Amino acid sequence: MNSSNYTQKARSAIANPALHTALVNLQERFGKGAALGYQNFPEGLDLRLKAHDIRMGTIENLDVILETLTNNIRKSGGHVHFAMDAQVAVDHCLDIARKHDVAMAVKGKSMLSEEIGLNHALAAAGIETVETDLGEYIIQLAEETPSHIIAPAIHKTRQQVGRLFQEKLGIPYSEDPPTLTLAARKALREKFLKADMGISGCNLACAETGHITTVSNEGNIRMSTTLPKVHVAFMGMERVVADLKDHDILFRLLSMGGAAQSMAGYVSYRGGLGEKGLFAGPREFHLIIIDNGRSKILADPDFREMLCCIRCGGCLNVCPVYGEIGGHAYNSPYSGPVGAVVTPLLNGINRHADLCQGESLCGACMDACPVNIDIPRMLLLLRQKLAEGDKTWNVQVKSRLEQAAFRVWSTLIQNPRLYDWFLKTAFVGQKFLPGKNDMIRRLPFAGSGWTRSRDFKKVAAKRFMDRIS
Amino acid sequence: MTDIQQINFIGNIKKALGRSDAKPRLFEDLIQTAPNADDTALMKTIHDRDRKTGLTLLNKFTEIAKTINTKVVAVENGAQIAAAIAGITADRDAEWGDEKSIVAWDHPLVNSLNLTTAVQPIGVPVYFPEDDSRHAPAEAFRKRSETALIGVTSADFALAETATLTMKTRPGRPLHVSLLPSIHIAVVCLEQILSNLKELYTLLKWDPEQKAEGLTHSMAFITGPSKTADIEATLVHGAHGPRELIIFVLTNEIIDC
Repeated sequence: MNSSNYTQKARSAIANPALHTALVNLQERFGKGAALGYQNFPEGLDLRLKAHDIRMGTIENLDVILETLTNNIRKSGGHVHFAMDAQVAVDHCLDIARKHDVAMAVKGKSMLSEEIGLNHALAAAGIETVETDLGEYIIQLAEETPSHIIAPAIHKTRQQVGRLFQEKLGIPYSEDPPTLTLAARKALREKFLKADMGISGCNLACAETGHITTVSNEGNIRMSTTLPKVHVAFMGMERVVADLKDHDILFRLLSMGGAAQSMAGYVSYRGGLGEKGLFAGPREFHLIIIDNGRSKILADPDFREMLCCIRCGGCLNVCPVYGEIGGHAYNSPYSGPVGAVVTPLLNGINRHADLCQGESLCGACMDACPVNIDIPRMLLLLRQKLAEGDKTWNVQVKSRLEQAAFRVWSTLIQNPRLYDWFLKTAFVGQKFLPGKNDMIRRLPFAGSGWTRSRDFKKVAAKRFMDRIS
Repeated sequence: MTDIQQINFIGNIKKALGRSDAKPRLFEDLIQTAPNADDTALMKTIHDRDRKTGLTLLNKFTEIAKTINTKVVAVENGAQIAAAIAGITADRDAEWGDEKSIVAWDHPLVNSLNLTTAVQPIGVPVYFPEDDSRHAPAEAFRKRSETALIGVTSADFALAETATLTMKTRPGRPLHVSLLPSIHIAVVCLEQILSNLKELYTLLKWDPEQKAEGLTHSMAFITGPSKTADIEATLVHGAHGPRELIIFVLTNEIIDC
């Protein structure tokens, strides 16, 4: 069902020159910046490998680490809730909102909140939710979805933002980024001061100390979690480290991988707020830990590695496919190579079959990954499941025709006589196909897809083996 | 307090990991629980750091700060800082309030500046948190912060390699002073400058005093003024937090930092 959607969205992105310029800039700046930054760590490039081991160690002890995190947050007066799926997570948040008579919530950027559809649920309960990251604010006003994990409005031009702000904020048209930023600063300031609830994601929790950490450059997350009377944080169950030692390493890699920074502008550790909470600040701190399909990934040793991901978006900043088709084609808040693995695993491999097949397997994502996740391996594995079907993941064979064709091919190349006959027939048959020199312009039947955008080499008159013997 | 959702949730993870309850794992086995030789050596390096090394770190701090639009000013005494803050106050326009005002932490270093006297000639009031352990005074002080031009704080540490300030939250030192005003001014001593994040984390993890205090309910790292690049990847300062960050480093005076 999403298949045509992917192709359609990819096509329209490829045809959009403004988007292209933006994506080239983004990849030049962040992709290349991070590659350079990795080399400049005192520990050198090996830090990424070490981080991979740390992440795997954490994932393989997730039960113990999450219990420690929970106990430590509760010890300092914080509240921890568990949610097996999106609905339960949303319900926890609505309960807290009702208890505190929340009319308006301000929110830091959180892809997890997009995953669970939080904004819609809060709106349905009559709670106004305002996105406060400038990029998220822009797409919320435009009623669109994020197209990059850390630069969600990368697909909008300054002219589009100018017209949007003119219409929605009632300011004179401008396409000057500082002027537009100032307009958002003013509009959102009122919201920060009025909001009853602050919502954030969680970049990395630290079990040993009982804190979550949030990272931003704008200061919007600090505002959202410092000013309203209750702070609710959402965390994917894998987004935790055991102690400060691990945090040091992963946090540095997160900043570098995501934004080519040695240090993000604002980093906040937040934990329980004691018995009474703070005066003139949040009285309560709630952490909602979410599974929503992650334990299924954990249970599969082949895909477990994907839970090492810290959602920095670094792989988007180098991916040649993302660089062409942008984020919307991925049909999920998680786009790019990470999305091509995570989205099918969370939402259905058949449903998002195009994602793993659209990626090029060039391996740039693995080199750019701060924790060295072997994304190409998992993309290939997803393709295998689509080709052969899989019971555990409930995957149907994507194309019986393709499967049959490959069976025939397999028989053919294992039988020399049959293969010779095939080549000879093909040599004669290809004369009836449109072509030029030694290339075929259009293949017949199922082969036509292959030649839609490229030519196919003709079968040679003489076999290679015959030529050298 | 363990709820049923937690039991199911954690149980599900155990199942996914193929864990049997026969031999439960301990968190303590997963982490380092005592400082190793490297940690001890690093703590000694930090502790024994002399003034000359301190000044080298200050140079690094100043140089890196420049690259992220942060001004670092080395001064010899508090009077110079107070005079400089008065100058900045006179020079800038009010953003959120009709009148210019300053909010400041109740902190020995900040108190020693005698800010109130310094800005009196230009008619700008300075507000300190009176008693933030009770509702009304805390609210009133936050209101001051909402309209203030400048917020003056100190910090726990300054990290040279990234030009970062770190601060835990303690009574008399609310978070919003470094967040709501248009300009954030921080005052620190030379001795508070560390090399990098690694040194900070080593202290947080192993230094007995830091360990006893914990990270508090909120610890912030501040690196440069608020910024965004969300419109066509163009860098703009002053997205939501302070649009300017100025750090004064006291190099001479022996003060309780």
